[in-house]
Amino acid sequence: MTSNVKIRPASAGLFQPGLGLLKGKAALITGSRRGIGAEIARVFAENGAAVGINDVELDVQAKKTLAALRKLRVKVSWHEADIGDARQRERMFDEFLKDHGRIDVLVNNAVRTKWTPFPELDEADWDHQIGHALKGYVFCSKRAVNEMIKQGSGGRIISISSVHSFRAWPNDTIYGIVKAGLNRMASSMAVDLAGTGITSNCIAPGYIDSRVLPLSQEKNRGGKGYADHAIPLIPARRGGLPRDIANMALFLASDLSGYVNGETILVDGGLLAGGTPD
Amino acid sequence: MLLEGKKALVTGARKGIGRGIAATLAGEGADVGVNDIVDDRETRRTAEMVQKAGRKGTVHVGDVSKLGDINRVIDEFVRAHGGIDILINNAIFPDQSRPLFETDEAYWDRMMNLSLKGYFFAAQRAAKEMTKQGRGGRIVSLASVHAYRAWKDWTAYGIAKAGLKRMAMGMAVDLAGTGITVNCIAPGAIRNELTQGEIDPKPYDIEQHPGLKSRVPAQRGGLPSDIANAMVFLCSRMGDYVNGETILVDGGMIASGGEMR
Repeated sequence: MTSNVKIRPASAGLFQPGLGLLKGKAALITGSRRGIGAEIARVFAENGAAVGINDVELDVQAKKTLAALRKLRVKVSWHEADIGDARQRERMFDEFLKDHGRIDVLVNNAVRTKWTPFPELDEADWDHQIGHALKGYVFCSKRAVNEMIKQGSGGRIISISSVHSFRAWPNDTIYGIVKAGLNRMASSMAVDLAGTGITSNCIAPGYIDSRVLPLSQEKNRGGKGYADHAIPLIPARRGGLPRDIANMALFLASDLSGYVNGETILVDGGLLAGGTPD
Repeated sequence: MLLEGKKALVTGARKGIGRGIAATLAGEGADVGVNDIVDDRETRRTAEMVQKAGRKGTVHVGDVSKLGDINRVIDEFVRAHGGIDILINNAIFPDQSRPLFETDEAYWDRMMNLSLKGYFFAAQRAAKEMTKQGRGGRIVSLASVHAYRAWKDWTAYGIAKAGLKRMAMGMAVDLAGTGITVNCIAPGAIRNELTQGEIDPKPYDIEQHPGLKSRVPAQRGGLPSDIANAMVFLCSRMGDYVNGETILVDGGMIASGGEMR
């Protein structure tokens, strides 16, 4: 591994917003009070979508995200729910449908992670993570899909997977299994929903700098101080931005991707293209 | 527009998917060089479609399975446009399927010289120019569902296409830090016969193609515009963090086990 690797400016992932790619669509994004979820909501809203924000609590971050979205002159709704809980999940959809009248896009993004070495795996952790990030995603998707079939105008299910679905890092057993399961879920949904116009795909992010940063530090996002050890392994030579993932989510949510189905797309700056360090 | 002022060279752009890509990139603001081995009305027509979008459209005839032609075509393009930001490796000859025992050395060489060697050296040459320019770039090669699975009589083609997936990975790593990304798009069953100058012909009628009906969740054939739209995403700044990756645009064909009810 070379130590003189130069980090590229993270602004490389930005593009002109406001393409109007999602005009008239209603999108629910789980786990979107901050980070990648909030950025997806912002990019969707900038493209004309009405958005539903979900998370487990209406905290300062959630309020900030909602306030910023409301400035974009699209309909914005808030849905407090733990997607790992069946009743809360169904209530979230009931609320969203009441507010928006329909659902065109579901982004499964909420996640809770705990890193544990294999010998110490705990059954409660297993049940919690699988119940939340795998079972929760499956049953959120099921509900959304049933609504979309009723509406009869197709739809988009986008789930946030991970590079951990393809390779193993230390202590990531449960997380990796969850994410690999999501890739497989997308394939099955594509087959079972054949002919409905609904597509189901995953995005597999690599290192994405979704830290909460003060505004003055925003320009350093994805740059020095974030995952410095990994930059030499990433051909893009920068950490990913939530925007990089939101851009892919926008593509997958839009009509541009109508023939992309059952697929998992890496957005990792080339991390997995490479092997192990020199 | 997502590709304002970008300079894109598309190989094999006389018709079909290549034409769709050329016209669509132009629609997003790119100047486009149209390469093909054949120089005829259709080749010119693709360039005219670029011009109609208000962009510079040039024709660069050459056999991109030959190193000399590759270098000349890229030189010509760079001279005409003042640089290169995007290379789309798309050229392919018509008889892509060949039974195993009829695959002689001449056919093998023809396949590999175009689809693997030609794509490799075009990408290498374009990357060299892009590195010199110092403003990054995009290299996208057309792979195929044949890179993922075997269909009868498609072995040579499949090997070449699988090689392109690995090429994107290797070049992404080798070009680290340059701002150049290298990716593939893997199309499924795309109808790309020549039509009256439009991007999209009528797609395959799924009812007439039981194989597609049982294999493709989208329940329709793909169109050049499906590929071209994914290409716009990858070539724009939106695709900046997608690197060394191959994206299937196959309506779910590879997700499926091929026995849908």
